[in-house]
Amino acid sequence: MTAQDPRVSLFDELVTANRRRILAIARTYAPAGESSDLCQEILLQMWRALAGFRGESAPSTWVYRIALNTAITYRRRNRRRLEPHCIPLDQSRELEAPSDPGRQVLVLEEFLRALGKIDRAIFLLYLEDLSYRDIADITGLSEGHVGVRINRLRNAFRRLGCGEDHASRRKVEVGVAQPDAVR
Amino acid sequence: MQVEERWKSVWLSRTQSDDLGPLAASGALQVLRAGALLDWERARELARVIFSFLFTLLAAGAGIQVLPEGTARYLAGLFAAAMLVEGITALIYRLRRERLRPEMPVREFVARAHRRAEEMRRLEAVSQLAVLVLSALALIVVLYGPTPAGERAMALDKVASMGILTALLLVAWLRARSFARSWQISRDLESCLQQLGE
Repeated sequence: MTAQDPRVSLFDELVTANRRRILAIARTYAPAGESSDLCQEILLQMWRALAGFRGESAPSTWVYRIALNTAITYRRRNRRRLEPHCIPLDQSRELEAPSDPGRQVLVLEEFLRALGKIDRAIFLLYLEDLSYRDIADITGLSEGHVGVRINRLRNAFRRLGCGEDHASRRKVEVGVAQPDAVR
Repeated sequence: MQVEERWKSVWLSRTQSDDLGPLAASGALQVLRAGALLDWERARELARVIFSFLFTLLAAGAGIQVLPEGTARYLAGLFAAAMLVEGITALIYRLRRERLRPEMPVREFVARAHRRAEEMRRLEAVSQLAVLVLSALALIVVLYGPTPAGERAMALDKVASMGILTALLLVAWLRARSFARSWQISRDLESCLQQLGE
């Protein structure tokens, strides 16, 4: 494998163009400190799948599929469980509705981690500003199904009280549908 | 809707500014490192197959040629059978390890991964049952097995029996752990399938 190898050039192009997406998925699915392991695994799967990449789908779609499939089925090589952050959302709890962007991102990340793996993928793709059609193409679900899921997740997110504009912080009650807790 | 657009832009701008971490270096270099890890894992699986069959032969040979007529000889036979089960399981695992194409849609990928995980779980269940039966037989042999004549032979028989029984129980424990892991993986994928509406 040399620098002139067209496969290497294509691979580097794909990684450079999609690194933000890969990182976002790795950070969402892997616990703190393990996202680099998941990143490596995603890159390895991309490399191995590169021979089959013929441009039939958009590069971003191809990358999203590989990254999500890898993240959903990823387990650490020493076989420890990967999902310590998944918490059941059927328990009421209080959340503060933050006003600064830094805290807002933490709220988003916490909400994502509390979802089941598939809901997490769908909501993450929604946050990535993909159309319903693109999300359906990546997940293999129908557009209608994607729309229903996203509406449900948006409602759940709004029920946290974070979907509204707040002038000041206030505590809100949370109670949403229970995700699949991965043990 | 304006609020949601704000949340989206917060998300997109945040991930844009993320520290690149492992992707800061050349992507190809990262792949090489991860690839080396994969080769190590493959080597480990192959070693498991080879050493399982080697220990089968070793235990059977030791039982016939070295150990006196007594409990230890029977235990050696049972241990050889357990290692044979371990070796066959590892071999099937290795042969059935097919690479799922991760570029397929998530729903299709998860469905195939689940089917494969179920196959592995059933295989692990059968091999675990076999090893458990062998372990139970071993305990019966320890309790009711013959004792060789002569003090020296008796001492050798007892020491060998202890060692072989410990090794056999270790194999049983490893099988149980392997089964628990395959069951967990299968359950996790089943949960994902339920979320996908399968």
